[in-house]
Amino acid sequence: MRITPAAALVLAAEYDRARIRKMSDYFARVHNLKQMHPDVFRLTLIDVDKWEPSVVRTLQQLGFFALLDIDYPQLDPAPAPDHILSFRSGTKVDPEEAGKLTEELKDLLLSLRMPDSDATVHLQGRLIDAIQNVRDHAYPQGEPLRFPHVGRWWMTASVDKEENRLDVVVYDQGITIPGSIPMSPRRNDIAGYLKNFLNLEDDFTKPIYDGKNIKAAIEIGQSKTQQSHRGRGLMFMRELVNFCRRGELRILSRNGGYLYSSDGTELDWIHDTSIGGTLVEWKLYL
Amino acid sequence: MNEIIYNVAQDFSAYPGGRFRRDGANSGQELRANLVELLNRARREDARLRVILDGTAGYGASFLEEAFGGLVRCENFTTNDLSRILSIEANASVFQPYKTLAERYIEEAQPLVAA
Repeated sequence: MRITPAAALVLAAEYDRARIRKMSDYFARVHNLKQMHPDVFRLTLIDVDKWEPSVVRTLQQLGFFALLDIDYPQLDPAPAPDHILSFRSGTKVDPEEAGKLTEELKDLLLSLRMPDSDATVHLQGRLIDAIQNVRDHAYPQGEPLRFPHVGRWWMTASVDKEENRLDVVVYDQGITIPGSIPMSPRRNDIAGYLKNFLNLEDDFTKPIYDGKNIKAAIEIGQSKTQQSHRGRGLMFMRELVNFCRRGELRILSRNGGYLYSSDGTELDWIHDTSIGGTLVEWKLYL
Repeated sequence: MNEIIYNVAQDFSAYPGGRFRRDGANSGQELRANLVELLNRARREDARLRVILDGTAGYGASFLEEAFGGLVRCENFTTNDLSRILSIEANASVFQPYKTLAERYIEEAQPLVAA
């Protein structure tokens, strides 16, 4: 049993949200700083010693236990294909933070004697645009989300030496791509695309069409509209897969999923439950 | 024709950021402000501004569009103006796609109509 870096990032983001909200609720209620005790901010885990060791290793590498300030004993460095970088998080577009991640990736590729490519230069721009998308769309003012949010993005990356592959993940807990479409200036363009190209006559904002909405949002970003200078980020992010030997972009948003492969294959699907935000994941084979 | 050379990595930042100043450090909006100053100087001195893209950690599309497309959209430069006084360069092959993107954003930009 294992946990993927993407799933571990989503789990870490949930705990990070809970930790931040707990801190801010406490600060709102307590005005005397002398009454603060660090333990009041702590979140706890149950029976960690019974968790699957491979899951614990992944979470350790990701920085999950450090996030919770849990001093968990390091497990033996058993052979594991994944080398996972500590996650980063923020609210602004932080190019230096993204740069630290890509530089760590480059150093890791070098240390593992993996092919050196220009992939990290192309990746850096896409990470910036993924965070820009979060800033522009994920947390619109005045729009209630299902759960209180903390306005953040989270990212991580991993290297699989056996497969010569980089995985990079960006996640937010925002309104989602399908959730943002009803208030988007491109709403009519997306409706037209779904009707004309996918023969969709039904209410396209229903969650059962979330996968198709993600695809439409990418395609419409390339079209000429009054807002042509905006909205190209998703297509730009998709193009990253063409700079490697082969690659995949997967986007999960609300109940929808979308996969694009460098051989041109596209898939879209839906899940029974929402991922609670938007997850963008690149798998890049060097 | 005289030349003014502006190396983004050395003269601006090795870590270009997002679109607007409010989004964070090293924004496309901030770079554009620098370019406008230099382009006006190029006009006065009958010079050409060479913007070199090599050497940064990488470029987002939103950054390039705001910095370069914004010259037409927001700063009243025409594509003809820019073809005379601006050249965008990328010497390493890895940065060529971003030169192409920046030039495309200039070509495709539409001036904002004043209210």
